[in-house]
Amino acid sequence: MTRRHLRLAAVAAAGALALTACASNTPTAPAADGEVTGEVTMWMYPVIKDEAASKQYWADTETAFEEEYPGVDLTIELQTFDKRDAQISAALAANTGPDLVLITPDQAATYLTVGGLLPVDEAIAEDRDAFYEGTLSAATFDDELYGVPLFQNVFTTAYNTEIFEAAGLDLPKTWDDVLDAAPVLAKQGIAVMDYAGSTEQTLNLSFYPFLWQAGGRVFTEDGSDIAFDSKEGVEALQFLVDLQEAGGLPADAATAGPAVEGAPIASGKAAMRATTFLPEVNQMRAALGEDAFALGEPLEGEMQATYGNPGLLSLTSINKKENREAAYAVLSFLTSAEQQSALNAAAVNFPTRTDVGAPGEGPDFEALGSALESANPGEPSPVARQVMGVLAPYIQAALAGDLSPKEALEKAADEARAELDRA
Amino acid sequence: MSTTALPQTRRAGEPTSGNPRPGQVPGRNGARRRPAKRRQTGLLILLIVVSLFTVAPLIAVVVLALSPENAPTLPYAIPTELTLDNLIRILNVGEFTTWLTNSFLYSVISVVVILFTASMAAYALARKRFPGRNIILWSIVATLMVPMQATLIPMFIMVAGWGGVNTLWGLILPTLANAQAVFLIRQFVRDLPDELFDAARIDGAGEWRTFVSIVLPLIKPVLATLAIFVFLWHWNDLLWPLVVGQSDEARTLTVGLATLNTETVSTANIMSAALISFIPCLVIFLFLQRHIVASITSSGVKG
Amino acid sequence: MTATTARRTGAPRRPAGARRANRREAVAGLLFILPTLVIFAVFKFLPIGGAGAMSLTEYRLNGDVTFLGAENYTRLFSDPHFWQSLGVTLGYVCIFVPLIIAVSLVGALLLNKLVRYNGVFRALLFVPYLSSFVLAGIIWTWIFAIDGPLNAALETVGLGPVLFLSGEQWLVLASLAMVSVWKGFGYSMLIFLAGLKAQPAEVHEAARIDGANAWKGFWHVTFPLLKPVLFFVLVIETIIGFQVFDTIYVMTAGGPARASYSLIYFLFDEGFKYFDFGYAAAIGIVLFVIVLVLSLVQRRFFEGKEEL
Repeated sequence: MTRRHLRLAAVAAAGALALTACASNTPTAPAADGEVTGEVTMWMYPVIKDEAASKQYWADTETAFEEEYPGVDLTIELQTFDKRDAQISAALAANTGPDLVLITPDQAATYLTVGGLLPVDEAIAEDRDAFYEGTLSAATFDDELYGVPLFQNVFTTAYNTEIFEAAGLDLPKTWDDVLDAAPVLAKQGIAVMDYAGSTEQTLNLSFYPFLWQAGGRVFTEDGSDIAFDSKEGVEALQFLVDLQEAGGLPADAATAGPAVEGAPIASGKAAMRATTFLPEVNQMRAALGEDAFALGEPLEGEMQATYGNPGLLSLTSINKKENREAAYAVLSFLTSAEQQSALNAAAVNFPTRTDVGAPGEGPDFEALGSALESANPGEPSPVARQVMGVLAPYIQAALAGDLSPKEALEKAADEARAELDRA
Repeated sequence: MSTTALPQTRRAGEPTSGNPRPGQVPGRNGARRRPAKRRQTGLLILLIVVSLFTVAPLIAVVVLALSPENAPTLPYAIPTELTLDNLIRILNVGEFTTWLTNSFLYSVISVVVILFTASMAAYALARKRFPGRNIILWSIVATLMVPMQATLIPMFIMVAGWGGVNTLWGLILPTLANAQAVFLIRQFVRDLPDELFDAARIDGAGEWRTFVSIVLPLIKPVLATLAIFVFLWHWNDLLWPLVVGQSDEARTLTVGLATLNTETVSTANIMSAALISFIPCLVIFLFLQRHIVASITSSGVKG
Repeated sequence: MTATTARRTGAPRRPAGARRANRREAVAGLLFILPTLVIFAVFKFLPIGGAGAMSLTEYRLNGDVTFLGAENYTRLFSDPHFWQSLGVTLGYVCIFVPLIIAVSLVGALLLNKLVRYNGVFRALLFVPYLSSFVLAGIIWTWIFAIDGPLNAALETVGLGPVLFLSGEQWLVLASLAMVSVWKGFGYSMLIFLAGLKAQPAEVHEAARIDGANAWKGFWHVTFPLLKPVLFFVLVIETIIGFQVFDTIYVMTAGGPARASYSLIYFLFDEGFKYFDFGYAAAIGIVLFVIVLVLSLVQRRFFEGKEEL
């Protein structure tokens, strides 16, 4: 009975696929009078910190859009970050849910692999040149764009300036600086840097920035092979292990999460964080004082590098053909220069377009602005998440001293290659 | 007839007086056991120590929830001032009343239906002979062993196919199949003294009357206990309500509060939400726990 | 099978050969169980069947289904992560189940003995069960932290610091089990308490008059009478132990180096991180079979040939 259900679903899905295939080749013509019509549901997340402001902002956006496109019924629903993948995947599997959803590039890659996304190149066909190339490339798979970048979170180094001043140390700018400062601070029971080794934390915010700073890559350029077991990869992991041994990382760094509150960085037990974004700095300042923290440029190993995380508005597989143009209209509207600057002002994020300025002024924004120049949007791969899933535990093992950096990365690379083969 | 020690032990205390008439609810007073008066100071001290272990972390929750958002607080410092701001901000969220209503409907309807249907099933499974009884019992218990995460997708595809997304019935109906309730009540009904049922039969009580006037009153402590649990499970449930209720109006409080969390959510916010969600649970618990009283069963036999 | 049920302990005695009465009883029984059976058929058996069917396929988000046969299962049995997480889960269960049963039984016995302030202490002991996993995770992560209160206490006696959540595997699993017990023991405690309350007072009085001491009274009177409840608690807590997820999710995320990567964590990753629904369903089915076999063993162990 249930198997028959599945088979029916398969047949229906094949039909639907055929339809969507047609749809992407020949987009539905707008209604006769040129008006775009349709119904679009979008799932948004609390990127604006204040809940009341967030609600108001998206309600206003909905109204503004519908004024411009009276034929389209747009519904914006605010969802929760917690267990979001379970919610989205269930919705897509049951064919009831959002046409558009805000996701990260890693998520986009995974959703695309299991047939959950549709390309959106047409939505920004006229505007494409206005976007930073990096933010687009993070969402590009097989030469097709699977999400329009709506905003960027940029991450850079945060320093507890008081700790370094008190110890008579300059703020570390390079790996060598960090390694030099480690034993000095360790004597006072302070870790020079914190590190979120938890497997729930994306490696884009933990290990990969160091890998990039060493000049390494996660995947080869063409994405066909694993590259983190290179000489550069070993150097990056060796750097962390050396730090750990010198007392330069908190003892539980291997499993620590990214939270600020309750973490060593907020109790003065760690002196810097390599990948911080603005809301975190504010939390650090709340914990230890307004003047205790400052943002600096990304750390430098062989080169400067950090992570810049575009938020993508992606079109899901359940978007019906008759609503396609309407969904494109929403995408184009929300990622326009005007809307981006409004959203960035409210959410304090960086734009994905060259024609929109930074969301604020002052030293913090200067540091973040310069970080933008060396920000890597993550290496797109259909198995990006799976590779993180196998690599993160081996990094924990290396930090615990159970495996040498080289062994850990080699073993992880073996498993990661198996994932790549299966995909 | 029976080989277990269980009923024999009970029969050791064979009723000396007449059986109660069906429908007669034994009084609470006769039921209360009165052990010889002894000093219980040691016991009290032990319980106080254990209570510290269970309660202390929750005091921390209250303190954190009442701490001003951008001020040093536990665990690094004792907050110098407390505020209701965090709580008020959450209570003022537009849909708060809707979420609260949904949560109450979800939890209370589930408690009533589950307790009633599960008691009926448990009565049948424990005291009625019918073909396939054992298989039915174990099929029901076995459903507990399939992890909910594995059936989430098929279940949701089904419910969504029937149009259950964003509806109250879509939220509630699938959670009414509660194997723990059936299993637990069955364990208790199975152990009710046979004499009560014999007496009911002699009195000519029908099946339904036996169930309503003998079984239900006798298992009241278990039902009260279960009611607490079923309420809590539904109240704190996140995954299913999150998946079924896609729009703001269809959310339960637990899910609604989660939607307020930004990526760098502050502990004060989490704790305030937890506290708000916690209070109804505490009230329900305190209300129901009074019904977990002394053994009515024994007085039932004693008459 | 009817032969065994006929010997059921609590069955009302009846004159032999009363076939009509038997049939009436059967009909009554079926009618009483019908509502539950319908609900279960639709909302448990059907989705479980769906998961079983799904485990034989590659099920994609757009509804694209490829029939794979047993491929997900053969892949699972050759997947080192499966065996690793099975080991982790078994290790966790071995710590968690005895611990939670002991704690909740002792809690229930203490509460049962208490003459005054009963309600107050019942509430105080039960309170952690009312809290959420997120909350328990935040609190206990802090308690177990390097600079947390537990390590501070250990330091005063010259020990530590101990890496409760990022050190040795057994310690991590024990710490997680501790948190689960703290959060969850109220459940079994109340059920034990209900079981104790349901015990006839006169057997205890008889035992006391016979001069049995407290331990003997417990072992020979209370314990045998508690067996059906104990069986329930054992089965349920074993299931809960095997399905451990939330505690790990909020505290260690399966780390360090997969030291706490449980089966459900594995299932959750495969299903809701990589969206391999077929594979995740296969993990769920295998876990189901393992726990089912264990429960049947427990049942046999508990009641011998008697039906439970």
